[in-house]
Amino acid sequence: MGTYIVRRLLGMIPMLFAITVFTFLMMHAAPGNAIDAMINPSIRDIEQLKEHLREINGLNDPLWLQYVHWLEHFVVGNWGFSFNFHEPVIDLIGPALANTLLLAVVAEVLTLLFGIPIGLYQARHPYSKFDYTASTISFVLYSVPYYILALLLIYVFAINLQIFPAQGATGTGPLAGTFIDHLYHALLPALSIAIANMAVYTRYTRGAMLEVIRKDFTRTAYAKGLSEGRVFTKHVFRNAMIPLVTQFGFDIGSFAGGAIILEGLFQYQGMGYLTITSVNNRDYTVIMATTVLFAVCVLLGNLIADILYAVVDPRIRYN
Amino acid sequence: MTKFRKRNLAAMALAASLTALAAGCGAAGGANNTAAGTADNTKPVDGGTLTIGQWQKFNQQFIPFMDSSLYTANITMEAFDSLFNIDKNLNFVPWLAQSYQWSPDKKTVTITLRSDANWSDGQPITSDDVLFTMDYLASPTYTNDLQGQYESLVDPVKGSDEILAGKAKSFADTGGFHKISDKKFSITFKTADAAALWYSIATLQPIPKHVLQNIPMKDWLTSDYDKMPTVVSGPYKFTKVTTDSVEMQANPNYWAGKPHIQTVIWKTVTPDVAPGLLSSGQLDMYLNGLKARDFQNLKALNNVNAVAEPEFGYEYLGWKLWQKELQDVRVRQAIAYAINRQQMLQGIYKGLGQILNSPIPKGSWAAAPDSELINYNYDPNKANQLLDEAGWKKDANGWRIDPVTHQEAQFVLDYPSNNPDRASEAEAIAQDLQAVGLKVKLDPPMDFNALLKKVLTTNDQQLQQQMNQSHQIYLWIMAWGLSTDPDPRGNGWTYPNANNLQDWNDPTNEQLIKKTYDVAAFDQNVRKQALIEWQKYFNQQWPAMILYSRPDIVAVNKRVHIPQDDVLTSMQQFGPYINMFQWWVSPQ
Repeated sequence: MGTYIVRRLLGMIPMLFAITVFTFLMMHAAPGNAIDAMINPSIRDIEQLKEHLREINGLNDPLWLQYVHWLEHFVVGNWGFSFNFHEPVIDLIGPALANTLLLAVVAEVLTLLFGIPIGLYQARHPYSKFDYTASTISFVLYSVPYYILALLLIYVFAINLQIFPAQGATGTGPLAGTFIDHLYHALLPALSIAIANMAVYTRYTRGAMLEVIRKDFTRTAYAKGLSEGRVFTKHVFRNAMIPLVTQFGFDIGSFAGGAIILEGLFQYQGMGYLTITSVNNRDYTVIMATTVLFAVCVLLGNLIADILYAVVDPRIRYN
Repeated sequence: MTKFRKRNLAAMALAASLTALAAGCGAAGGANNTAAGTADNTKPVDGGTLTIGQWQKFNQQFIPFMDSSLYTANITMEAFDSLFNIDKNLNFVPWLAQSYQWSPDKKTVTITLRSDANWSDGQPITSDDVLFTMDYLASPTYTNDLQGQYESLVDPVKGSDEILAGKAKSFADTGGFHKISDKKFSITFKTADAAALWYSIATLQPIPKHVLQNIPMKDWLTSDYDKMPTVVSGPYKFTKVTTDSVEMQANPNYWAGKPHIQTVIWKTVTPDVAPGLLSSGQLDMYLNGLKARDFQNLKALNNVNAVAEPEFGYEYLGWKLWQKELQDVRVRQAIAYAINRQQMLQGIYKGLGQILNSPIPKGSWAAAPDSELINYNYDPNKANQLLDEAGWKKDANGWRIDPVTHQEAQFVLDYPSNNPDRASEAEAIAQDLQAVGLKVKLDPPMDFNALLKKVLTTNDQQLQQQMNQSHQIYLWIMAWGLSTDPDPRGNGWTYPNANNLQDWNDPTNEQLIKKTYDVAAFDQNVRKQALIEWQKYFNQQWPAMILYSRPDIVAVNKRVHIPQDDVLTSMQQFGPYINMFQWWVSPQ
């Protein structure tokens, strides 16, 4: 297993390299850059200023040289300067990544906490009233785009009931900026993500469980005289977890990406918000940094999923 | 990207309907804001909290001029006073600078600072602070290491080039600045220019030398002071800054008196959610970005005052004056008469906004009165007549023949994709022009950066080639936001100038503009007259089709009381209000 993980990690390096080259080229193929897009009537000789800024930011160099410079600096932790936010990129990424990870973890916990048990209960009592009700509700929730849900949640919980904050990743007052404050602000956006994801997990869980229940080894387990609870936990659930692990791997992959639209709606200062603002402003340094982080996350997510396969399924061995 | 936009649109549409819902609830619930009404004869109350929402996130760069975001500037404006303030008609009035006097040659201005103006830590605000701030903006460190963009604020001052080039350290050494006493100094400009003080030093916000001189300037960007300035000159002090909000408290030592409102909170709020928060009273004020279609709903809220006023800027239809077809002024005027701007405002902006026939919005003291200008009211007959006179004959299909190429004239219109209203405008313009026989092809909407790149003067040769080859006439839609001073040079109406996107090169225009800032123009009345003369020429020449000022909507809770003197006659970047320290809020 150890060698497998090391091999996979090493394999990521060329992959990441290819991703950065590709992103770099894509971005520079789009017309304009952050500096060209500047319009400011209070600046007199704007063309001279633009030329100067292009020069000091290296945008006048040939493309390959710009890439080499970027790579050199990136590897040693100098991620460049965000023209739009007027801040070193690394100082922007830190808080944004923390916010997004918190949001992702809270959303994932909510999803798993409710999604899997509901699916399990449905599978134990298939075609019951509960099963039909839960299925219908999850189909409805899955079909509603999550930004619509988010707006409804804001309307009900933030504007009318005023239990949760409507906007932002932090609030004001004595608790502002503390972990509790962050958590409080992450709950509503997390709930909007979790509701849709929950529906996915209940469907997967129910489907996988029902499939395994019909398998021969389940019948054998019953035949051996094991209690129903034991059959479900030891034999059925463990086998049914394989598709869930795949989904979980995908989830991890999307953790650092943030939810672009959702973060926009909540003005939640995370990676999604940072990325979309930067893309709109052609803020190259930020886009490169966030892209690399997304890529790392997706690759790691896949790796974790593969490792978890081995954990839940003894037939899978990587060595 | 496209996907995102579509979804976003849907979200906004839904938000609009939610607003209506929220409005209903607010009215029924009666909420917590019964003490409504901004009757200003009531006695101001001290204390309370004002929560302001802004659309875009501020940057955590609070040393003035460190970054160029307007959303940051709105916040720093409350913490750092500038040398001059504006009055309700956008005239500059003395502020930290108590008085000023020009030398006979009009190159040197002597400024006296208020004797009672102190930093929040009790130290006096002095000439040295002003010099320190000017040297900061002029220094190569500011422009290179800190990537600052406002060197132009000190550029007209004598010696700015030497400092930027590293040949001098301070305006005190170059003859640009002369300290007379702690509260009195003089500034010498490179030339006698009647606009220079207003577009440069007037808006300077001094920074405290005694605090910042101990930090190397190249480290300011990441310094604690930049993230949350502790010593300020304005009515409010920073007390808490997080990634998405800023909390400020009244500065008890403020020279103009302690502000009435104790706490001011700035938040980042999307315009999708803002109407709901305004109705529930969680937000007291929202600056710029509210949608025209939400205006009626906002007005219906009984706890909110919503005002829609023309932006301080304009939307325009641009063209390139190197295109032979457009060098005939009759063609340009024909286009002006052909386009039904009234209907566009009606259809797209719910009748809000204001039609302009000159590039200086009506809110400015320098705006030419309507009686002095040709009013290009919608008049297709007049447009047809002008085109006929210009020799644009109609062919058998009713399309007009381009007298340069002798083929059916073909216009092509570009517009940015960042706002769905632009698409409606482009369609309306195309229809109106087709109605007078001018064929218009709409290009697919372009990303704003791409469009700007295409029309930039520096890119003209490429565009020229493209237009010549395809026998097309190029049009585009864009908008300008303006700075307070009406100097025509600022918005690129001189030649050469990177902002002169239409390549308007006209000696008469240059002469008229020169008159707006020459020695005689130091007399405000002369300057105003010169600006009006220039606008009349512009209005007649019509080098670009100025469409209108779009509406800006600002919503304020009725518990916020704003004295009449603090309500501007026009919108600025901070909405139509000034002098927050004089406002007060009813207790909740």
